[in-house]
Amino acid sequence: MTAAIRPARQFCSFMLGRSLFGIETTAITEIVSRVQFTPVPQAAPSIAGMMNHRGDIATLVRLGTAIGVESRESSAEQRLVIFVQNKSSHNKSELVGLLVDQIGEIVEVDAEGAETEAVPQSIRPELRGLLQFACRRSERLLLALDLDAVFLLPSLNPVTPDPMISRSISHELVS
Amino acid sequence: MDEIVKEFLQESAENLNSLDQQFVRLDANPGDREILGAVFRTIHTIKGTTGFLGFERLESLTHAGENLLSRLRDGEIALTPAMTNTLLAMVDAVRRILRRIEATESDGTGDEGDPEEAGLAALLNSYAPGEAREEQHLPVGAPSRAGEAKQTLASARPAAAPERPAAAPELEKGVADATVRLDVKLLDQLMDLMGELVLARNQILQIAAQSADAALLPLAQRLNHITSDLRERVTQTRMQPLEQLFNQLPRMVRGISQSCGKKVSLEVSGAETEIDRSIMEAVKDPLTHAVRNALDHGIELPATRQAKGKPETGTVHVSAVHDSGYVIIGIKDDGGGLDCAALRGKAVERGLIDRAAADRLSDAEARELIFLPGFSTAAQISNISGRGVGMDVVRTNIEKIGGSVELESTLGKGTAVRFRIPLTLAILPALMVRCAGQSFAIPQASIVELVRIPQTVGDRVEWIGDTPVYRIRERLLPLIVLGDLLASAPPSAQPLSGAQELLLLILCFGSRQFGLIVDGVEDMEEIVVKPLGRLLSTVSLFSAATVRGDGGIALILDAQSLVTAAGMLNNSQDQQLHSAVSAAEHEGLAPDAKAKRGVLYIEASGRAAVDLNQIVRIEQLSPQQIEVFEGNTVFQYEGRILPLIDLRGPERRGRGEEDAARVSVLLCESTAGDAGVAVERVLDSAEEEIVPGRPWPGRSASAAVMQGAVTHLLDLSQVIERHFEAGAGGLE
Repeated sequence: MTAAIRPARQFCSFMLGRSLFGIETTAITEIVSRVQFTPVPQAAPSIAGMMNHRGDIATLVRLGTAIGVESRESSAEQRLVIFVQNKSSHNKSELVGLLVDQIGEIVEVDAEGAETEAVPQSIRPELRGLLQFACRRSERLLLALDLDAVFLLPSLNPVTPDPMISRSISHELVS
Repeated sequence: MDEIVKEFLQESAENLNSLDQQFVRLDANPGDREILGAVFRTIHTIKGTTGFLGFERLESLTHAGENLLSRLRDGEIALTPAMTNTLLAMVDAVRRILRRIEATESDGTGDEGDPEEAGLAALLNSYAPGEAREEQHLPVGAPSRAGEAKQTLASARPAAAPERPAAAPELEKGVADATVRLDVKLLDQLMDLMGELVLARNQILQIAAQSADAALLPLAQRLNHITSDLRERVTQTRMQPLEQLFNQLPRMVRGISQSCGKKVSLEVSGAETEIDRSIMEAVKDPLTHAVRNALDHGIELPATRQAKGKPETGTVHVSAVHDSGYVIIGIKDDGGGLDCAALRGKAVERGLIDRAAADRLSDAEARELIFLPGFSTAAQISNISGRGVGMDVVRTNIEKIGGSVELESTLGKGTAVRFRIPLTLAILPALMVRCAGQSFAIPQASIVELVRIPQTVGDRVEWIGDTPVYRIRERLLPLIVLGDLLASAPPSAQPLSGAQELLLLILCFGSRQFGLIVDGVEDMEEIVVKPLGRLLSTVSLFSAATVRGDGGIALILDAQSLVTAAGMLNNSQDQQLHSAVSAAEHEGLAPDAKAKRGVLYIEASGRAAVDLNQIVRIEQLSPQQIEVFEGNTVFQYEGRILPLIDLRGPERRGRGEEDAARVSVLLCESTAGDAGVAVERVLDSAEEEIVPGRPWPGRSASAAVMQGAVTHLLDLSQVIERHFEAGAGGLE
């Protein structure tokens, strides 16, 4: 098995609380640090607010709160955002920013999965369901997040309350 | 999909739409050869192309239609309504097949045939027996047509294709060469970019204003002007004439009037009025619904109309005009009008409001009842309307796009519904307000007034249950404290206590107004509306946001969401509040919720003022017309016997006075019944703000100083009610 000629999968690693997570780089459009954002009153706890991303409005998700990992929720200067597309939206993808604690390096993982290992049993089952695999990197264990699964979380899939009023109309109109 | 097929589908769809129109016109002028010719050519074009493209099923169906049409055009047979129905059914069948082609790229040739289509073809053939004749004088040019379709990218109106003989000059628009067919997506992108440009301009203007660079400011100004002009043009590119929408109406009216057995003629005006295409989409359903309502509920059956002395054929008039940045679409019928008494009864029966509240409603307010969810007056639920998801959805949808719905109706005369719709949506003027350290945008269209309440009169905020209300010009305005709403807290008394100055925005949502208390007001801005992501779709308070000049984001607060979020739309609560408000207003002796009202000054044992809305008309009766029947004073009016309530001084009462002067009688409509009220004299009518004085003991009225004289405020409906209660019933 010659891993060298196999295409490697690249993961952007980041810290959330005390754990090292990774998101596949192909899903990431941009990484921004030190952001100002606008909170949205009445939004769910896992939604931090919105920010202007080159004229588009991106929804900011507190990734730690969303996946149930204690995060530092550090001061404004430390806020780091990874922009990804939420493709679970029905018709078009939505620009979503994920708030994380600290961005790490890009990690290459052999696509064949030779280096990967099963997610340790010690991790909570709810979180385990959101991970693709684990992989040892230097002294830490990188947990590869399955973004599709994250966006399917109930906390990120609000049920629109009032079916009588067809919100879809207003959405179509303004889009 | 093949380019040729795509072109064919697009072209055919347009042709079919014009066919609908032509068929309905044919109904009115069955023998019109010109229209028949145009219809024939459209079908012929479709048939020719289908043959070339190999859609055999479509070809055989259109062939049957073409056959019949050629006979009709040549006058060999006469068009009957049954034939029109069959031909319309054929158009629908063709549409279905076209949709199938779009989805599967095949018309289903070789599949199991559709029995309906076969039946249609047979029916068409049965009207035109004999061997199908081949069309000679038209250059049978299916291949060339298709080839042409491929080349003519710049043909906006394929209906005016060059093969057309001179017989149909009305179809030659002559604009084919000057227009370009564009992908709608491109226009949408253009509009998005335009929004970005507006934002960039706002930012530049802000920077330029603070900059010391002398060259920057004029440049920024120039950019400003160009952007404004460009915006106007780009907005125009998205404008489409309402014709597209209105064109669908004749066929609908025809179908519905046939199925309800009514005779209705549709008049359309202002179809050339242009409107943003996204708004067009949103207006489509409400318009369809309103027209259906007019047909189903408004226009009476021919027999009923005749009995009422109206022409047998009812008229529905759909119109559109521009009016200062808005488009007004009107749907007017000359049908039965809204029966306010029936509306009140229905609302009570449906449990939407209680009897006491219903009786307190003015007629205008009673008409508003039809906008309540779950309201329908149709005695029978038909397949056309009456399912109770009616006017409330119409109003909701129109208000979603920043428009409003108005209603006017006269019993027996007809009903008019008016949609007031903004021209465009993507960019709108809004007032920026501050609250809880954040900026919010409120669309200008929903703002009625800005009020600053000084500290000292803070006690003018009163409480009805849990809802704070503010008394302004003798009407009570429910208040929403934005800060509390944002914090999801119930309205707290603290900020309203009068210790501080309050900033109150009076907003309107439909016919209802409410006050919004904010921390501060910033500026008017042109904002670009951007939808919120799906993740925020549960936040019902906001549906959109905007990027501001400084790059920050402001959420857009619209009146409807505020009302919904504050629970004011909640039916039972709202009703309680509504009755509480009107009760409180009655206490305050402001008999109605309007500051200024039409009043009629009369002399009836002294000077009095009555609500003009309660009076249908003023009649001058000769004393001989007033009769006494079984102890009641009555008079005849339009074949009915109405009770006459005499409010004149005792010395002038009775009938047949010597001076034989005519008696002024106010014809009144009330929930208790209709009656005439005799008065000494009608003095004047005016729009008045009623400032009530002290109640007048012993009368069904209070008094006020109006036009400099002490005037009784007379409630005619109460007068009539008492009259009936006293046992003097009306005879009808």
